[in-house]
Amino acid sequence: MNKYEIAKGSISDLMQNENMTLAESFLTCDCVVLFDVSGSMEMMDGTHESRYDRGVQQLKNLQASMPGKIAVVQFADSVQFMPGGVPLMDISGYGTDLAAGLRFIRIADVPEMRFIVISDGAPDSETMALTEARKFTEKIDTVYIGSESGDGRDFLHRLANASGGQSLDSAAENIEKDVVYLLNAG
Amino acid sequence: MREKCRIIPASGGYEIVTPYMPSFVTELKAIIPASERAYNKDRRSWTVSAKHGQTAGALIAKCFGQWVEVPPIRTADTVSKIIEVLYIGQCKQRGGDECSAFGWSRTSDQMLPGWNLIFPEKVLRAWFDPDFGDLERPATATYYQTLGIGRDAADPEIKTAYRRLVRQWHPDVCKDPDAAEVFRQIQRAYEILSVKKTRARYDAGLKLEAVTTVKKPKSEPAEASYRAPLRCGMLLCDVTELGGRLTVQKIKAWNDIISPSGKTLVTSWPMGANEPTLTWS
Repeated sequence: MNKYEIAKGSISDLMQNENMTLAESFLTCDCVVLFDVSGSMEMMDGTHESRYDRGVQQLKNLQASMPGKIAVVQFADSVQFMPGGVPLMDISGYGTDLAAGLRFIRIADVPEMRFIVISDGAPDSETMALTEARKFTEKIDTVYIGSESGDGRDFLHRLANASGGQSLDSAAENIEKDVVYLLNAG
Repeated sequence: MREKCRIIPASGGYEIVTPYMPSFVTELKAIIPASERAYNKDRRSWTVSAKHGQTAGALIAKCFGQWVEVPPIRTADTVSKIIEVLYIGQCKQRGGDECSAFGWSRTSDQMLPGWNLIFPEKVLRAWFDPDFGDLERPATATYYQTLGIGRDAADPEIKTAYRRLVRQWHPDVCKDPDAAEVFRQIQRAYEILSVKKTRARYDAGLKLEAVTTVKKPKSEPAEASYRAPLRCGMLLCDVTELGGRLTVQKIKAWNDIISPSGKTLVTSWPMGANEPTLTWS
């Protein structure tokens, strides 16, 4: 299987089907999902699949139902834009540098763009991440998908508050439903 | 007895006089860029720029086995000229590392109508594509490049560029084979860049493109040749002359060619034509 898989309805899928450049295909994009691929995403939460696997499946479903509308960026120790819409666990390290992820996606902080951070824990530096979040002109929503209560959950609430966004406590298998809810909630 | 080869100081460089030898011509064309050489039909000789005198000498030694002295000369002066350019073709590789487009001019001083202008690609890009060379520049043409403007262009500049281009490329007046497609691209570029929201989204996409390695769409050619968005105009340029041909070093101004009755000249090159078609629009 190709390392960089292309999900149906992703930015890359649109580029291929419509013979567009990335910049052209980004014209239809309404939402940037910043997806956590840190080491803790390998936890199973009592299921047969990791948070990462369940989350990726949900992202695929989401893009298939909203073709060209979702851009996926992944973060761990480093940040990578995934135009194919499928995050990869083994290329970004195992840390949680959310500040770097937010700094990266601020490229797309343009009028009416939505940002949704999906994570299962606290970042390497809460202060830096909150500082980056406050620089956004558009709001950032968050979806917490860890099973543990504690710092991560609280932090994502604070992150969303910092930019006027909403925060949901959920699970990896509910991402599609949560993102659709946040987009519709406005 | 075999004819002697000669290297003679000439206007803007050296005149190279040799017997005809195909391999010599092939090598000369490969080594010396088109903007630095010109063939003189009447004298059946080549003129090369001053900096290629030694190159020509070495080539003569290699091909003809003759050692010819290269007399010292002054290099060609750069002068400013106003030139009426009727048609600029597509950029192509023309020997050495040079990529350039030929320009068709009606008359300029003693020059005859014809392909007597050379526009190096970098000169055209410097005028039409100010972002060329930036690290962020994507591999494919952007809407900004389609309109021949920079990414920081203000709204009035976008509108002016658009109006100028649609006049030149409207399929009703432009007879170039790809006029309809170019016109469509101009329309699309304006549609996106003239609206604040879509322009911001497109700019964000360009920035993402710059930091992302993505495969080009399948049908896209590996390396498209650059073509200036405008093909004709009254230009103020810095030029150097070589063998009756002008090489443009810098474009300083580019105005439309306007008739006394206020109409704008549109030129095109229909398939199979020997010279550009002129239409007043």
